[in-house]
Amino acid sequence: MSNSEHVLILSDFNAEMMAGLMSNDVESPAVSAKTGGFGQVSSVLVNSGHPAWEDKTAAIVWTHPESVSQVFVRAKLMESVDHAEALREVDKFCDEIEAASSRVQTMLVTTWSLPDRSRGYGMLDFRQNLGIRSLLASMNQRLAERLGSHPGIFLLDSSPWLSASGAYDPKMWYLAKVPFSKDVFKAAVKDVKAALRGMKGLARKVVICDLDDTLWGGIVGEVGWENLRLGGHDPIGEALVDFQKQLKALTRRGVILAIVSKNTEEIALEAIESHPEMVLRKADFAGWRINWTDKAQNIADLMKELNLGINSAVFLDDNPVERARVAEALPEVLVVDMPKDKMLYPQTLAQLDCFDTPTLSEEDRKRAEMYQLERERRAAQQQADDVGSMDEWLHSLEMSVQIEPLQEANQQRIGQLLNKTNQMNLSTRRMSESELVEWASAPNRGLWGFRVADKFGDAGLTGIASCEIDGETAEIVDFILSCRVMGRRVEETMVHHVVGFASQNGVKKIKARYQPTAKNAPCLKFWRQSGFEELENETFAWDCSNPYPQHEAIELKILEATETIPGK
Amino acid sequence: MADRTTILECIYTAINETNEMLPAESRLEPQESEKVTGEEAKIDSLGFVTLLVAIEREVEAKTGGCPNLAEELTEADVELTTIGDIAGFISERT
Repeated sequence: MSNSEHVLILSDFNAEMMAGLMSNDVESPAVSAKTGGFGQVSSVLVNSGHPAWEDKTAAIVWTHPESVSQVFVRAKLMESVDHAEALREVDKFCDEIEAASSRVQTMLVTTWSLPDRSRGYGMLDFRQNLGIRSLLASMNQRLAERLGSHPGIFLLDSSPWLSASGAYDPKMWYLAKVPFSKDVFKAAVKDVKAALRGMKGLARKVVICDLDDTLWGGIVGEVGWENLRLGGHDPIGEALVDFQKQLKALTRRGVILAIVSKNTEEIALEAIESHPEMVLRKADFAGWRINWTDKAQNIADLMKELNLGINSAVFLDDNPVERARVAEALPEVLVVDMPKDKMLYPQTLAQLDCFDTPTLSEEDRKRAEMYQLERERRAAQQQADDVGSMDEWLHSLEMSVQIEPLQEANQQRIGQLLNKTNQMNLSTRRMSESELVEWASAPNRGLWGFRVADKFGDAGLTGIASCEIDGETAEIVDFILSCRVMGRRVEETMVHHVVGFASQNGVKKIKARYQPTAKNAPCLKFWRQSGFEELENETFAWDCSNPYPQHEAIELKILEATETIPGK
Repeated sequence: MADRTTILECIYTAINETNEMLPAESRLEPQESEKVTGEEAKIDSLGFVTLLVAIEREVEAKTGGCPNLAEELTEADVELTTIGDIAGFISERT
């Protein structure tokens, strides 16, 4: 269990069952869960030296409103209460959580719910300053206002876990102080695991869709696009339009779409562009393989083209034979078990928990658009390959790289990139935003973000480099680049900047130490071609008396710090 | 009186259910001789209560009725040491 996430569960009930379920759950990531003891919430939260915190990377705080607010207890007994006083109690609870959050990388806090069978004041229960549900909604709202934007704290909605019949288990409560059924804990564990995967940068990034009988009803090559079941007064057609709308919505949270379909490309693309009820058009897809080749091979090729790992992919196909083939050939792909009934497609997609991420930046929201631009760049490259050299292609891109110091405005994006980039990543170290800021604040360290743009558009902040100086030597600690801009000489631009910084600070020799992971082989390949001298143990060195060359086709802009970060 | 074999099947299903929540060293074997209380038992009092409630549910679902085990055990002042003891206790009362 050495690679396990060590999770602490703080609850006002006996959570041993949940800890057991979480530790035994086979879904990634592996977790070793311990409880802080029955009812030990505040006492552990306020005690930074409590042994329960030792070695923990994440904590879950799951309480009932009654244990946080005495006002709420009285409200449930139908006493007349001051709702503002309840919010002050919530504030005190939030203070304790905020203070404790620095002890772990991730703090998950559950929202409060009422049992469905609890009727409260019935039709008056949402009346302000009276109803119990009204009070609870205000308490949850205050919880979200206080904690919702804290970078290391995340609220998990407990209401879906508790909505099923039999969620509350009075017998186990009175016998063992376990309030919920096992299914509630299973649902909670699923959401906690999704959050932890997101924190570890393991969220899926691409949805690869089949076309016939998946995105639309019918086989386009047989019936023609005019006769496909899509939209209109047709239950299947309506469901598939909703399914497409949900896929489109995913693109707005940073997921990209692609197509792998056994079809004639010309016919399929004509359907995508021509059918009036299509929600998704060609521009919504980062790439496609529409041909008669094996789908597993097509997916592997497509992911390579998109510069993404196979384990980033989700595959949606109505055909169980195709699904089985892909699952067998590419076990890292998440192959969704699509229901036979197409009216259940939207619900199946909505329930996938593989896209959860701890942040959502403007870059994420524009990712689909950026991949479309990348497709155009590739087409331009192909044209250049036909007629000229790589240098000519780079010149034709009119690229610029803006170098920015770590500051409040880019801190979230840099933290996100640090924690989710796998391929071009020298050390693959993962840190919370606050840890990163603290690390970078030391006077002998430098950390920069690199923002890349070209004539096709702005790729956003897609690179990070950092270095640590020790006398006349320095080490490049982070060297991270999004796969979207790899291979366009941005790598050399980053090295050029770091070497220049080191040289200006009296460094004579700078090193980059490659830390191998299952996914960062592209990074080793870059360093081996970088011109640095390769020493032993995959360490690379440069004599700083020589400036590191920068490609002439890239315009360099250096942004001075406009905002300060704590300690810098 | 419910068939002992049926009761044991219910108990073994309940054991599998309970094992999902137990650490590896505490998981129970579905066999009559498995200890559930006393010094040799792998489970603690919470594990025992969880198992009893799971057994009640399984037996209720399969046979249409089951004694309230936790309550009757207290009232009858009996100590059930093994899975076989629990099966016998339920058989006598259903």
